[in-house]
Amino acid sequence: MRPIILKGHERPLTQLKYNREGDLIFSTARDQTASVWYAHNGERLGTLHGHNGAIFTVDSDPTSKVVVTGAADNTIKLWEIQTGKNVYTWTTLTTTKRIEFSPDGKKFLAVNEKMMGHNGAINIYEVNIENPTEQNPSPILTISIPEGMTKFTFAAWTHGAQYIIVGHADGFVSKFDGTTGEHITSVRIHESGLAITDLQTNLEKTYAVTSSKDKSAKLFDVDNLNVMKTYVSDTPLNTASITSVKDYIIVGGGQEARDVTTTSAREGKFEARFYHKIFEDEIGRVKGHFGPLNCIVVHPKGTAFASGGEDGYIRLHHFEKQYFDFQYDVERFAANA
Amino acid sequence: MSADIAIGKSTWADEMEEDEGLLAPVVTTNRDGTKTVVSYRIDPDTQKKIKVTQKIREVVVKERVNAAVAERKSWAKYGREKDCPPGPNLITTSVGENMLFRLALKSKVREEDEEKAEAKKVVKDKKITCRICGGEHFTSKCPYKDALGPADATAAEAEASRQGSPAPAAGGSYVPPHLRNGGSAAAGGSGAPSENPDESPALRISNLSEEANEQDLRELFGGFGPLERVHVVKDRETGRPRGFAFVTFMSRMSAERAKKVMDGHGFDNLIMSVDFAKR
Repeated sequence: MRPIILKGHERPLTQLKYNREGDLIFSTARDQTASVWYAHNGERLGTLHGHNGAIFTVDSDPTSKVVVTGAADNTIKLWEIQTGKNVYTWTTLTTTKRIEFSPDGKKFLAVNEKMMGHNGAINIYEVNIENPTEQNPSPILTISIPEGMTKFTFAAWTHGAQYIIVGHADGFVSKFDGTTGEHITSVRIHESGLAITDLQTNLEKTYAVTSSKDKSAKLFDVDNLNVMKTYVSDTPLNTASITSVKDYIIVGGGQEARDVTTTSAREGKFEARFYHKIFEDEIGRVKGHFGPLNCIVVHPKGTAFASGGEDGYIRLHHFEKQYFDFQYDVERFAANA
Repeated sequence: MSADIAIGKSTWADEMEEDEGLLAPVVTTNRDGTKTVVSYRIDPDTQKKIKVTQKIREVVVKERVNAAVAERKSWAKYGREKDCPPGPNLITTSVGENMLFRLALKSKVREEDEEKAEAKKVVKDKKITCRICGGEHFTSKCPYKDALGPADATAAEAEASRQGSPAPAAGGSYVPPHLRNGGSAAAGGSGAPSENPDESPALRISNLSEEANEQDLRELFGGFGPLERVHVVKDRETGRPRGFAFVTFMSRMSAERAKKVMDGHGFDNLIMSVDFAKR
C-alpha cells in the first residue's frame, strides 16, 4: 500500500470529510484554511480563505454544491465548492467544534463550545442551497446543555434526522429529538473526567463509534445508547471511524502533542489501528505520522481511508486486495458451509 | 521564414545545453503493441551517464463514473491552487513509501511478542544491574532515569563511596586499570588529562532521531572542529539505531562549543540533548 501524502496545511489538522460520492475530500486545520482535494489522486482543487481563526470542522451537503466550515473566529461560513467563494457567513456566540448536515441536506447542526461565559449549545441552522447568498441568520433550534451535564464535544444526526447523538466532556453520551430538541436520555459510556474526542456514525446512521482519552473506542446503538462493542487500545484516542464494506473500526491517537519532541519516535504510537468490528481484536496498524492522529475518515465506499495528524500532514490510503480478502476462520467456515 | 529557422536553432541549442549533451529519448513501437523507451540520464552521485531502457505496455481501462463526479473533475482550481495546471501539484501531493499492510489476527503478533519476552528473560538471568538505581534492568531502561539524573553522575558518586570502603574482593566485577589501587581519577585526582573523564572531548547525544546516521552527525558536528570518532549506537537484535550516539572531538574546546550550540537543537522531529560522555 502506497499512501498519498498531502502537505497542504501548516498547522495541525482538525477534521477530514469525504463528500457523499467520495470523490472529494475536505480538510480543515488550525492554519485558518480549509482545502478541497480530489480523493483519487490527492490533487488539490483549491483552498478556502476567509476565516480568522483555527477551523475545526467541515461538512458538505449531499449534492456537493456547498460546504460549511466552523471556526474559532465565532463564524460559520458557507462556501461554493466549485469556485471556492464564501457565499454566506453566520455569526455565532462561540467557537464551532463540529458541523454536520442532516441527511436531507436542508439543515445542519453546529456544536458551539462552552467559553467566554456562554454555556455552549447545539444550534441547528437551515440552509438554502438553491440560493446560497440568502440564508436565515438565526438558528431554527437551539439545544442547551441539560441540567448538571458537562459541555458538548461532538454531535451527529441519526437516520432520517430523527435524533441527535451528542458526546460530552466527561464520557457521557446524550440523545435529543432531532425536531423538537427534547432531551431523551444520557448514558455514561466512557470513563469519567475524560472527554469524548470523536463521534462518527455508520453510513446508515444506525449506530455510532466514539473515541475517548480513556484509551478506548466504543460502538453503540443510537436507539437505546447500549454499548455493543469496546475496542481497547494502549494510548489516548483522538478519533475513530467505521469502515463500510468490511467490518472494521479504525482508530487513531497517540501520546499528547506536547510530549512529542521530548520522547523517542518509537513511544509515540502514532498509528492508525484497525480493529475487527465484531470480534473486537486488533488486526492491523498503519504507521506514517510523526505526531498524534487527529482525525480519520473512511471513504463512503469503503475503499480508502484518510488520516490527518498533529504534524500537519494528511495521508490518503487506498486499500489493496488483501484488506478485502482478510477473514477470520469462522467467517471462512460460515461462507463455505 | 529565416526568422523561423533562427528560432528553431536557438531552441535546439538550448535543449542541448539543458540536457548537458545527453541524447534525446528514443521511443520505438514494438510489434506486440508495447513501446520501448530508451533515455539517458546522469547519475548525480557518480556523474556517470546511465542508459535507461523501459518497456511500456499501454492499457486502456474504461471506468463508469457518476456524472456529477465527472463534472467535478473538470472544475477550475482556486485559492492557493489558482492557475495551476491539472494534475497533482508536487508541492502539496507526494506518494509515500510503499509499506507492508497486512491484516492479521493479533494472537499471532502476541506469540512473537512472547518469544521476544522469553529471549529477554534469558538475558535477565545473566545478572544485569542498573547503574542508576541498581535494579535488575539495563541502565537505559531505568524507570528512575529522569528522577535520578544521568547514570554517570550517580555512578561517580557510587565510585566515590566505594573508595571509602575497602576495594571489592576478588570475584567482584572488573575494575579498569585507572581505578585500581584506590585510583582517584573519578574523584578528580592527578590522572593524566586524557584519562580524566571530565576533560574528555566526547559528547553523548541522546533523544536522537532513529533516522540519523553517522554521516548526518558528521555534518552536524564537523563544523565545530575535527572529529575523532562518531558512533551511532544500534540495537543488537534489530539493527535499528537506539536513539543515541557518541561524537568524539580532537579537542575539548570544540566539544564544549558543540555542546553549547547543539544541546536542545532539533533534528528530524526530535530535540537532541547533548552532554559530555562519561565513562
